[in-house]
Amino acid sequence: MQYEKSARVSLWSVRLFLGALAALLVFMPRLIEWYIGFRAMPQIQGWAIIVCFYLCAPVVAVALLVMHRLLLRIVQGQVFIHDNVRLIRIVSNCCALVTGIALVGCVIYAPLVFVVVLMGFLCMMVRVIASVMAAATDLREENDLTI
Amino acid sequence: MPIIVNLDVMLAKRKMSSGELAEKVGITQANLSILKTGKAKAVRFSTLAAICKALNCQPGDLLEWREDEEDEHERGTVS
Repeated sequence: MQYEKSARVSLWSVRLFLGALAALLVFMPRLIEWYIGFRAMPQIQGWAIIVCFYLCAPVVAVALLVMHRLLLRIVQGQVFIHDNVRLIRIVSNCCALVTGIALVGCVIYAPLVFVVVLMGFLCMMVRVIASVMAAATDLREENDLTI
Repeated sequence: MPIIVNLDVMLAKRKMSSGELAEKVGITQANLSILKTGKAKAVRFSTLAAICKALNCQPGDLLEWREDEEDEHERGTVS
């Protein structure tokens, strides 16, 4: 089925992202050190970026693992179930948490405001998708009980 | 659900099993069970027509409206 192929591609993308996150966890301090030197910015701003990143990293990891579980279920044909709606809401909450962390960070390093805006918008978008899924799940259940 | 489906009564009158009826109507036994146990949310007219044809009866013989306790409380008929 077409949706299954698409879900498998998404599954691999999520796995790639998880790998990238793991790599960043190791190399982030060196990356920031280079960036501070390159931009000649105050050390405190570099620390703000590092702290924000390491606070956001577990949240992002949770979101990616939840997306992985959701996609596995979709590949298995379990699409419109209440637990999937719950998983999508978890992803939305993770986006909200990252928005909050970046909001605090942008007090020290202003460009983080772009992260705030992007993640805030993503949070809203995912919440809308969760509402649509919830309605679709109710309709499917009603349809299943229509003889 | 205030609509009761009296399939068991008609099946007994016609001396037919659930499996036979399910086969004649073209639905699964699981779906017929959902109908019998009152868990169904809706019935298609095509399904109802097929059941009436198989059991040689009228829709009124199968479907009964019974006021449920919530409605009775609202009307104040039950204390």
